[in-house]
Amino acid sequence: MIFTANYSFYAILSRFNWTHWLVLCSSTLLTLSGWYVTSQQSQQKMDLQYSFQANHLIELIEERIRHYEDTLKNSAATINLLNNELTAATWKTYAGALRTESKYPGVNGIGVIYNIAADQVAPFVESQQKDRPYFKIHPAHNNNEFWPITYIEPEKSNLKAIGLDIAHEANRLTAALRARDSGTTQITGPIVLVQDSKKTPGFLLYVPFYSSDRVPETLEQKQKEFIGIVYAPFIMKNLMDGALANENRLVNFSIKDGDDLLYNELSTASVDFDPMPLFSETYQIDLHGRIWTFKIQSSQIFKSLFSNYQPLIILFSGLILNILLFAFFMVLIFNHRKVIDYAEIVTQDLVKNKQDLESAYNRMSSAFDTMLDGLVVISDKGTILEVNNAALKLFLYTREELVGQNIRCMMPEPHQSAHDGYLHDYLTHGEKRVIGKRRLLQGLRKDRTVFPIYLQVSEGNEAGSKIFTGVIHDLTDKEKDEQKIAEKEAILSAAVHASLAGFLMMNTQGHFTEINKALAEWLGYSPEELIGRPVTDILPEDAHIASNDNLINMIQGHVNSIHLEKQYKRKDGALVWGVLSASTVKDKIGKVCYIVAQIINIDEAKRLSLRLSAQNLELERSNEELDQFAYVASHDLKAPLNAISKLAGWIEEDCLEVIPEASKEHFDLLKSRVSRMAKLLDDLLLFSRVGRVSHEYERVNIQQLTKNIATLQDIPTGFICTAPDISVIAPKIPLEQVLRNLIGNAVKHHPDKTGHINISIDTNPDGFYLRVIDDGAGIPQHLHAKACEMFQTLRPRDEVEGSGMGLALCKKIIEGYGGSLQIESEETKGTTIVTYLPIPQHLI
Amino acid sequence: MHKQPSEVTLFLIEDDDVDAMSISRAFNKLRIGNPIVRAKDGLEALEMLQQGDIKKPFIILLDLQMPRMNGLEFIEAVRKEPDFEDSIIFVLTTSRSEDEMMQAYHQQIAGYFLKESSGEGILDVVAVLNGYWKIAYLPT
Repeated sequence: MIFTANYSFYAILSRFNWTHWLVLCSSTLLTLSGWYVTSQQSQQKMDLQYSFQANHLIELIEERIRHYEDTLKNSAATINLLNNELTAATWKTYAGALRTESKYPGVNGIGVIYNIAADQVAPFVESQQKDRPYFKIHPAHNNNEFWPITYIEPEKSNLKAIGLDIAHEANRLTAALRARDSGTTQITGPIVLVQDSKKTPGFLLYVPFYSSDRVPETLEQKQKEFIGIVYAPFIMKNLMDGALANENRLVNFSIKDGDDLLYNELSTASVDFDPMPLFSETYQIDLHGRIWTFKIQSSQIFKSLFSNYQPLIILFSGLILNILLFAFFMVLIFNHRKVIDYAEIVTQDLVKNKQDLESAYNRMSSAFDTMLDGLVVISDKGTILEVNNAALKLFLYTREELVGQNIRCMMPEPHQSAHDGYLHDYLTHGEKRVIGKRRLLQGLRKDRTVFPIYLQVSEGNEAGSKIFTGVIHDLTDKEKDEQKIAEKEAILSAAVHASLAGFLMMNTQGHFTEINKALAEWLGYSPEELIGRPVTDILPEDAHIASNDNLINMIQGHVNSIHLEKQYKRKDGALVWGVLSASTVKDKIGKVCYIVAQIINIDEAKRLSLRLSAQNLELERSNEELDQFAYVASHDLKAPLNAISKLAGWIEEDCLEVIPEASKEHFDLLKSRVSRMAKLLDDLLLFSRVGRVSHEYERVNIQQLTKNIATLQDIPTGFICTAPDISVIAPKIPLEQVLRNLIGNAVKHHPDKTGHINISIDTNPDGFYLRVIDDGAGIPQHLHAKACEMFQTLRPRDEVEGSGMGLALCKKIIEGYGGSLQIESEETKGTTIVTYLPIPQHLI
Repeated sequence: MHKQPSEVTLFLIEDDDVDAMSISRAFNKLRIGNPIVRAKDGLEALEMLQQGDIKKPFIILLDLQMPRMNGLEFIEAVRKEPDFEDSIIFVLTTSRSEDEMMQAYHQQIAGYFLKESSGEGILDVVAVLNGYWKIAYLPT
């Protein structure tokens, strides 16, 4: 049976009701009880059989022993009859008559043992040797009693036993003494017969005889009258083989005397041995003074004969029946379930179809109601079946007022009276008036006013009869709209054409469709000349590709508008500059249909700006060259100067003794001029480097800086330099350069040996003022400008050493940072150098 | 292993006669007997090296601004010569340009000295060189 995913095993199981379970349970109970009863009966039968077999076995052995006992007892009686005068020959005759070998299989012989006192041994042996010269008692011992086996038949197979004194061995002697003292038959404990070459277990069966043929009553009499024992030796295996045929036996067994194993069939060597027997029991049997323990267990034959499979067959067939029954129920319920499910699916489909139809109807209705145009459905009789919200609004009715009415009420005369006739004509002759076409007609409102409409009618079928659907478009507002659009267009056109800025429109092929007068005239055309021509006609050749790319980008909608400066080609071939602003015009579905552009003439301005930037570039280059020149010149000038200085030094060194005093003075002058020139060149180098390296802004403490400068400059004692403990944000190295020069100047140009230089700082958020104020000679107003020029000194260089570049350098540094340097001084009243650095003081 | 100071040659590459002379004078003044061999520019120096005119061990004292092949070009060329790429080179120049100094040090020069305009500066440089070859082990 195959269960689909929808009909799983458990799903079906859960559908079982109590009757199914009742049938299954009672059937199972019946099976189990049938199995139980039959298996009980079978067990009882086997029990009976086993105990019968076990008892039978024991009885068989007991009977065999009894049989031998009887024979031995008869022999004892016979010896009494012969008045105890027995010879070997008589015994041979007697025993031969017994035919023990054939009659009593299992016995090894039958013999006589005499009890001889020690002093009687010699005559006894002597008398025996008369008949049998080989007779002698063995083995030797020191007991005062002797128990020699005197006769034994058949003698040939028992030769080793003749003359054997049984007193040599405890089991034999103990049983013999017991027989003498009790007068009853006795069995020895397990022994090995001397005549058994295989040395297997065996035993002797004793029957005592006395001088009288009766057994004396007291123990004393018994001992006194005791003569000897008639005995039979048994090899256990031979006995059992004789007693029982080991074929088709239902049981196997073992016999133990105490702990000694007498006989054992319970091994895998035995035929039919069952290692897992159905039954196994032990029995203890008292047998002539010995307790023999029998262990009996059922054989394989027993198992095969009596094991009964009937109960199991009943059980299994019952269970199979139950499984079939269960499966039958499953199939039954499975099919039942399938039928129910199918019915449910069909039902669901039906419900869904109905819902679909309803929702489709609702969707259609709401779609009709959201239409802007009116919609009316009528029957072939002209009765209104459906009407949408737009139609109700147009005609000022409510739905209840219209549905069920004749369509006539919605149209003015003459159609109102004739409409039924139109319908009839169409249905009978197929004469179409409005169907399938758009007609300009008039509608009649509830308030009897008439308004223009477009009407379009289509026909359909419903339940076998024709229906007609009319779509009504209100034309009332259309005329007003058209007028407004025309006005707007006129204004726009006037604006465009009157504008001084250039204006154009082009289509997606890049051809002009509109171009205003201003643009056309600027380019040397008339507007009519350009319309229809491609835009590339007004562009220089090298701009065609870029222009095409722009056009394609705009048409494909990647770019909506562009703004750029470009050159245009006039009719006469001259190029002019214009600013282009172009944007796309899209239709309702977002497709680009036009490009509108405005072009402003910037030719003049552009030319000016281009010229200006070219000049700026030139200026920058020449400045750069100048800087480079100053740097290289000063650098290269230094090398020969160094050489001159060195050579002068060497001449002086080498010829100090020979040059005249005047020449020595000249050497000094030479050296001082060389060092002045070196200083000039150094300063020139410094000057040319100003602004080449940019320095980072950091916090600089003015007091600290001044102190450092004063130390390094080696300011003469007598000059005091003061500065406020204020920090400013500034490029440290240039600031230090400026301050060093200014302080140096103040000291250098001071007329006295003592003086005071004060430095002040005045910060604001946008920058700071640095003033260096001295109390020196001052600079006259008219020399202020000159002081700041390069190579200008206000006093002869021989009086005050200096390159004349210090102030110029300071000015260049300060102005490099956008700042300013000014001299504020009145003659004789000291000088103040005011520098301003516009560096914001909130940066760090 | 240890080389006697007198064996080390100073290979002076200097276009300016006066500067070269000032080195010789400094040697005399400090009583240094090591031989001085001079080349007038980088190209000449390179040729002298290739022809084996300069015996090892030697150290090079190099000017930067020279005609034909300047100092930096010379260092670059020497570092490509398998026999002389390990040469010890000191630079002695008037150029204070940091850019040139960095370029020179990138080519593994041993030191960068500035020519003083006057005075005894050159004596210090020569004393340093003398001390250097007295205690340093040079490539042979």
